[in-house]
Amino acid sequence: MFAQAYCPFDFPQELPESYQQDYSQLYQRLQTESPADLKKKYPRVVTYYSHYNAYFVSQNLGNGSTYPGWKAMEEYVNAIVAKVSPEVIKLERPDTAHIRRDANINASMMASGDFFINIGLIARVENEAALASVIAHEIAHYYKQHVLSHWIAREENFYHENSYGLFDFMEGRAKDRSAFSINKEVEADSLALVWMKDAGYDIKGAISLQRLLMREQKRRNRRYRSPLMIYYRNKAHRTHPLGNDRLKAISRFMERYPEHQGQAFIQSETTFLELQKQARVAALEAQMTNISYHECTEAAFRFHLLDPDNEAYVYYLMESIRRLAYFKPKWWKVNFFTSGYNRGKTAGGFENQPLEDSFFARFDPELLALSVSEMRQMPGRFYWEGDPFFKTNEEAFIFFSRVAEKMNCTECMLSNAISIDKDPALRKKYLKQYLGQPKALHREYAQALLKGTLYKALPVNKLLLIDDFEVVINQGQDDIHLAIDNSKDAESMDTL
Amino acid sequence: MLFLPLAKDTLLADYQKFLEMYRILSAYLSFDGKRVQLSEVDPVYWEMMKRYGVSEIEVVQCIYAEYRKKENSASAVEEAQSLSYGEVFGPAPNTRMLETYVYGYRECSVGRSVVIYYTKEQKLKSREHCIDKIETYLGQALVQKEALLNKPLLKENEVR
Repeated sequence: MFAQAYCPFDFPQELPESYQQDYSQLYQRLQTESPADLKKKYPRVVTYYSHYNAYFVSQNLGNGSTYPGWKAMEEYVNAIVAKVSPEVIKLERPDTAHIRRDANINASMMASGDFFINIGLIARVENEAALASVIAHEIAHYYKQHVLSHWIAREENFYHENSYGLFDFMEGRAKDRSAFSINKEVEADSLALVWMKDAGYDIKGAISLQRLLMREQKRRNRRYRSPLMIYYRNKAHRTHPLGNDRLKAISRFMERYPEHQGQAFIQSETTFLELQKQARVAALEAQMTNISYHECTEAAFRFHLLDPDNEAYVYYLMESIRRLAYFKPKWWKVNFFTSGYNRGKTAGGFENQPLEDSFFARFDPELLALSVSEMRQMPGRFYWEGDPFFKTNEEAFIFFSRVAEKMNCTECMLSNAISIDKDPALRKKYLKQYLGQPKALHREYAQALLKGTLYKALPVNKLLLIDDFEVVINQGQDDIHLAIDNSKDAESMDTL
Repeated sequence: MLFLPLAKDTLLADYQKFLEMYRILSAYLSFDGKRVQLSEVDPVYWEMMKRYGVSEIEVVQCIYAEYRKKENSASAVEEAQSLSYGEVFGPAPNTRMLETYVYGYRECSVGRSVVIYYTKEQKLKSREHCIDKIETYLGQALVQKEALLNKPLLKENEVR
């Protein structure tokens, strides 16, 4: 096995048995459980739907895109799933939750009842009630079989499947698709609020979640160059109601139940905070392994502002800058954080000019995408006081390497050493400093780097890796992906 | 040789790391054409290569697509999804295509370190069992990749 710095979850070599979902069994189960009336009326759609769900679940559980057996995290989410699920659909399986190694704010529930929640969502929500609101919303989609109804609507030509283009927009096809989807989302929102209330959660959790989604959308909008593009992305082709409309609906619901005194935490606030701390580091690791270095820098700095003493955030800040600059050396001279963003709305209207100022020239809450309460309590506010500590990525890296030194962050020392490629003496100095640390994780590597034997240490052999042989059978509108079956397919693969 | 889909069950942690390395190789064309050494990206990659006793990695990715006529019955979907690889590659009266990507990586101080060899969709004969043809195409792709990787650099920073 290998040592990975600052990763709260160690991937095991053996996939736990519960994660070895057999495609065929799952497919058969879904076929049996499919609603008889729909199966009779739309046999092809229902069959393809069962195949799609079985394929997605078996692939996602088995390929490491979910953390296999992250017990504490799964148990916590499972407890919320059980709490917000209404009696009519109390899930038979208690282990329905799977944590996805994905830093995006998202969750989904499959027809099989498998609930997938992104680690990035757990990392960002304000409290357990906010988490419960997403979970209840996804359970509502599952309960009302919204995905299947989308597929049936498409079959009935209610809207065209690929109505995303500009011409679709101009000819109104996108409108049908958008309206259909928004209706389903409103229904899921409504049910989720009722279930949250019945479970005893504070409805304000749903408000805080909507605000988080709206802040994230505003931040993303700052990456678009034109207001037309923002309209096209956020309004013309939207699949969800506008954030403000959702907030109004939640407020109306709260007015109907003024006596409801829900709680922000039902399971445990301490557990939530401890797991969220781990989720934040795991989300950074997910961004790093997904080569989303710039996003990783942004997220790590956001978390660093909230918890400046956490050395994991400093490590990911340094490593994400270093790795992107390794691939794109110009990155060192680019401004920290603001690269790729425009000036956004100013007193003079929408300014699509690139934001060339230092990130610390003015406090820009839209780019930080933190909540008002987070910003109010933010210990990292000092970055905007007095002269900026740094402007470019290179300056930021040097600054954080000094912070890391003060924290005695061992792996940051190695990061610092690898970043130096033009001054061998300085690199050696930092490598020796790293090797002097008792907790150094990559001692053998650092020694080889120091002695200049990195390449010699590897035998002249070659490893051939054969990736998944993707087999797709296209039958008109259906693309059927074949799931590999070890027992049946080993022989064919051996032949190859 | 390691067949990744079958390695997932028993070497999941390694599989994850190989996937990361492979992801970097597949994205490297967008990295300003810089010469890339995985050992300088993450020490873990060097440690993995050392543990497997190799200095070179090649990754083969194949996409096989078969185009059938539009079907409206559930049984057609059931029939297609229950096929084994062996059955799929057998004679069939349909258009069949193969797309291949081969990524080559070498841990070395000089010369090329990364190459990507890609073949556009290659047609497979419909009336024959195509496993031999796939094998031939794959073999050719691996040879082409090797030739690319051994081609001397025209200038120091050129990698493509």
